[in-house]
Amino acid sequence: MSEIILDIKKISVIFNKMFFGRSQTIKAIDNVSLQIFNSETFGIVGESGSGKSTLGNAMIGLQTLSSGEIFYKEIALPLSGTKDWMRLRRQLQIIFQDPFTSLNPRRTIGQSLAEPIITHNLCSKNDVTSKVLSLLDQVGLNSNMAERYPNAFSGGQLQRICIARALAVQPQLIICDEITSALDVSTQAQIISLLKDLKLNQDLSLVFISHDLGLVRNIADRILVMYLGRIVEIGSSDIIFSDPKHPYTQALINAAPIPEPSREAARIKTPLFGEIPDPQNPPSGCFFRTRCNQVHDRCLIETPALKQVKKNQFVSCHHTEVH
Amino acid sequence: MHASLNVKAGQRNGLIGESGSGKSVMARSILKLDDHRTTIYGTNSCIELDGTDILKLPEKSIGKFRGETVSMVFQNPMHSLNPSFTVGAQLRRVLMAHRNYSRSDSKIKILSALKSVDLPGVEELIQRYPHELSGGQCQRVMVAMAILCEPKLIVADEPTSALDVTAQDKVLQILKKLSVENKIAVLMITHDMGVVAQFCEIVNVMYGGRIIETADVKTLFTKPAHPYTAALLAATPDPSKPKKVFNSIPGLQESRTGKMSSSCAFIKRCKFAQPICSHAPEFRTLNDGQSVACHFAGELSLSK
Ligand SMILES: Nc1ncnc2c1ncn2[C@@H]1O[C@H](COP(=O)(O)OP(=O)(O)OP(=O)(O)O)[C@@H](O)[C@H]1O
Ligand code: SF4
Ligand SMILES: [Mg+2]
Repeated sequence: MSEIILDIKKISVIFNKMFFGRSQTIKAIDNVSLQIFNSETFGIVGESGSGKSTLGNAMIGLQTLSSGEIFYKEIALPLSGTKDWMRLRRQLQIIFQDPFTSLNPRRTIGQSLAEPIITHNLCSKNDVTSKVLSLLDQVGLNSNMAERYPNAFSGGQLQRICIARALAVQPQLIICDEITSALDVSTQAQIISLLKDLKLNQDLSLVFISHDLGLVRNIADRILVMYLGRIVEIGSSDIIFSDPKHPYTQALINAAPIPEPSREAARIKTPLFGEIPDPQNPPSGCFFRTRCNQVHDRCLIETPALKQVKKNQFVSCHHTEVH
Repeated sequence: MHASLNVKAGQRNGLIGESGSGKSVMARSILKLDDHRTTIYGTNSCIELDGTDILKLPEKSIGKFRGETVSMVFQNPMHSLNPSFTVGAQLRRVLMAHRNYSRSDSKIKILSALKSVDLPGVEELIQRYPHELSGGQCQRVMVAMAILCEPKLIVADEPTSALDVTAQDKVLQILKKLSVENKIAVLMITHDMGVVAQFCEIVNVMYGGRIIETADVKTLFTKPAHPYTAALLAATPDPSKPKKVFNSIPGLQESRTGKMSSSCAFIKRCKFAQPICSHAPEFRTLNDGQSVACHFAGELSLSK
């Protein structure tokens, strides 16, 4: 495969919260290692609270690590706010779910788009306007929209503007954290097509975080499945979706409805029993053992290591046999 | 709003459409939450439940009607529950508003409702506060609340869109089971075609304040007759299939201005539009179980 742009080595993130005078610790990321390659789209799925956003933030230095390291093109990722980080920041962008709060309401779209171009000195002063217009054009918006303020736009249009702003600085990597979940089905499809088109024309890696498994399968080359801050399965999107090996991945894919009534009705549903455990008090051994239909004695004691089961599929489960 | 909706006893109906299409207005009018002075129903608006037109119910029977005949489950369970009361206290309040039970009878009723939505440790659960539960558990409490007074219809307005897939799956399965076992009709309001495929028997598609297609679920997915329905299906990603090219609908859904236009609501985004489409098409029956508002219904080749 191509060049590694982000090398994540054994990172953990621990949050300390005060709750009624008692300090509580949550391990939001637990010893995660993975790589992001040049020009790939990397999907992250998992239940709410599994650590997807924390990992996304960590990937661009927005989250302090409790241990481990992240390398961006072989340089250790500096901490946010430092001078070194500011320099790298241009190459690492993030887009969030709510475009309304991501844009300054008192600035025109043109001003919002020009700002990063000017700050990072990406073109001569005279060319800023034409650069802004070409960005708008790239995301399918009219040039006359540059004069307007955010409140004049719909959610889908604003999300396009956020994409344009991320693209303005010619980044290497964009983290997309639930960017379509506030949008309608047809607008969501437009945004996905836009991201796919943009990727065809430049060297750009995407990390796509979403609850919508259909969308993730449709856009991602590789995926990561997380459970309580740990990797349960990682590898090729097509392989994992068509032949998931981890009992949690199997349950997750089984729970996502297929938008075809006859095939959906014919499916054998095996719903996940129980609830996601309290993250402050995770189970011993395998974190998934309290809900797993394959659990055996070993799972209570020993944390399963990530093992390769196929060319492009890695699983953390004692039950999975190595071929 | 020009819309008629016909819900049969025990039937699972879907109302699908994008934001601003009028789904929630429809839901509110079913529950009569709308202020009658500001809401003017179109002359041909009609919402029938088991043969009775709900919009024509006399004012004074509304209180009894809401909660007893029809109950509701909303999108955000955390907002629908009061954070400062225990789960048990909130269920008791709903029950007491409609039924004259003794304290012990009401407790039995509440515990059995909570058990029926598959919540564990119900004796202990009724002592807990909403923030001590997960989103999926809260939504199941809401479903338990909705069935307390044995309604004929549950209106569920995007009940799973704040939940993740596993929690959504569970809520849908429980609602389906309760609907079948107790013959409760459900109106599932959603923008998610996957939810429709999994849950509904009959589907109503809304666009621009109108219902533009009604069909049984299999017909709708295999032979959509309205260009908008077909476009919506084409824009829905399928987790069981590898990457494909999305055929997204060009343009934006019009923001509704209150006035109904005299043309077809979909005219500006429809690739089949002809001059005749500047006259609103009639909602007509195409064949058994499928009705469509499009001048060319049945004549277009709407491939997915
Ligand atoms: N700033 C914070 N302080 C304390 N705990 C936090 C903080 N941010 C996240 N957490 C906790 O860390 C864990 C992982 O949270 P995270 O937001 O990364 O999950 P997620 O997978 O993105 O969930 P969702 O799907 O709901 O967005 C959760 O238990 C969460 O409560
Ligand atoms: S390690 Fe054991 S408990 Fe964990 S997923 Fe595998 S079989 Fe289940
Ligand atoms: Mg998140």
